[in-house]
Amino acid sequence: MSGTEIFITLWPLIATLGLMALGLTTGTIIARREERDLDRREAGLGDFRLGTVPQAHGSRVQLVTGSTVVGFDYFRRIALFFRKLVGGHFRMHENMMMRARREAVLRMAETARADGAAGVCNIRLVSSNLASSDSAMGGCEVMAYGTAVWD
Amino acid sequence: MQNNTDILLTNTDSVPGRTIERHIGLVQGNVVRAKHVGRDIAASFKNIVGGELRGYTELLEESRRDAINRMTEDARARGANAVINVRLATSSVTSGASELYAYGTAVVLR
Repeated sequence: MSGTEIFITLWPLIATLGLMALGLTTGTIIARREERDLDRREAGLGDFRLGTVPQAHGSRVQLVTGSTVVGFDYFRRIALFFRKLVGGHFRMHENMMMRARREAVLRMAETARADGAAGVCNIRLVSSNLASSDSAMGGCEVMAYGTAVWD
Repeated sequence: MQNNTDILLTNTDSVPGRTIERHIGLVQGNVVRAKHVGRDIAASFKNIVGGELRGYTELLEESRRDAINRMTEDARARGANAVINVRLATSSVTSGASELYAYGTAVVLR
């Protein structure tokens, strides 16, 4: 069997492994970059108040929202498939969902802050799955909403 | 999410410094949005490398704004000047279509 024939026979395997390697690399790079970005922006909020208590105090109130949709990279989807066989925590998705929540809260907070608000109270976080039945597409939506208050 | 209307929206059960003169009742608005083929293709590439699916974020933001606007119109039509205790929810109606839903209590504030 020539090298070309071996390549053609093993093509699906090579493609899968290639996509997994690509997913692992880019997914990790994107995750690190997001983490740094979130840390920086959260620090930039300063004394902007964020809370889940339902009482609003201030001269003016207004509903604000923020959301993001995260996609799972190819490596993590395959890894999840194997994880499902044995069960247990899936740390990569835990981290990804927490990053998405921070992003949603930050977008909400930044919108309110840009309008001169002093904080956001009664924050609620909800998420939903956008995945198609074939699970090739998809993603998970995370939304934060709350009441912006002005001093 | 800024609505340029005179109807005050909040997800708390009261508004500081204002009293509720009259309860009007439940108002709601929804939008069911199908995904877009072009955005689906872009998202499928993004699903190899990971990260945010910006096309979907925008799509859902637009739809949510529409759902909130419909709820606000409902409140205005019934003579309210505020909607309090607003709740937002999302559900997948079928694969490839999402429902954005907003509901709250329409009131007249003094």
